[in-house]
Amino acid sequence: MSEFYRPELVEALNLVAEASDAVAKQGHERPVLVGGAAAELATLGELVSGDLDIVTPWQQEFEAALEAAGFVRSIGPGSFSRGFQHPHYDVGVEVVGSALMDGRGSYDRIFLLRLDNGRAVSVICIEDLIADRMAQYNSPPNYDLQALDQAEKLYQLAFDLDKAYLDKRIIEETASDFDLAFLEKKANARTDD
Amino acid sequence: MRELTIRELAAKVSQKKAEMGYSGGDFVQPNSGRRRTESKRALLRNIAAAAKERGEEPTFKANY
Repeated sequence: MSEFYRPELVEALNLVAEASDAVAKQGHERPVLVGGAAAELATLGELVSGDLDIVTPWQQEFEAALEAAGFVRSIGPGSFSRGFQHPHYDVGVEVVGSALMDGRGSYDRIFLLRLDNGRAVSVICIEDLIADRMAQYNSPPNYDLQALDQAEKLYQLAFDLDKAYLDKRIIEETASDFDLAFLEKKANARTDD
Repeated sequence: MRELTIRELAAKVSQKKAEMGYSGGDFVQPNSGRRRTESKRALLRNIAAAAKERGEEPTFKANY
């Protein structure tokens, strides 16, 4: 799959899948990929993320499995990180939370991404990913225009979208400041450029 | 749970990309980086430093 995605991303996904399997074998729900790496998948690598953000309430078990898979705790001069990095690949992994979007994201809509080696990674649904970008955009007085651009592109490249759910989630994540109609207007305006 | 292979995902996004007329790269603006946590900045810095030690450039660009 390196013809579509960076080898570093694919290798990191393989290792996260291995660690996720270890967590699942203990009887726990699989950790979920969120954030920039999920956006990298959804944009076919147009957005490039330096690390994989993971949400799981089983942080200790997952991090132990990450170390077993070859990651090491990230340590640098004068800096503290909660993340892990790989000694041979330019990629990191960090557990960023215990609940999907602080409990507002949908576990029912997560999808299982099956990798070429047969292992799999659970990934946040595109609707929640877009809503997360809209939340980042909605930070007045300095609106994050990059986040809005990413939301537009994620929307344009999405397939099998549940628009009713997306609308609900954008409204939730932006405290009713924005909705799907706003995002569609922006996305369509860019398309018409 | 829905399941998708990475090849199916790539094919579907690739088709949408073609429909939108996006060819090549740089059609999505990168993260500004201003919302990154200190932990995330440190992680990205450490990965970039490790790449440099190996005589490589990181495969990602990030403001940290």
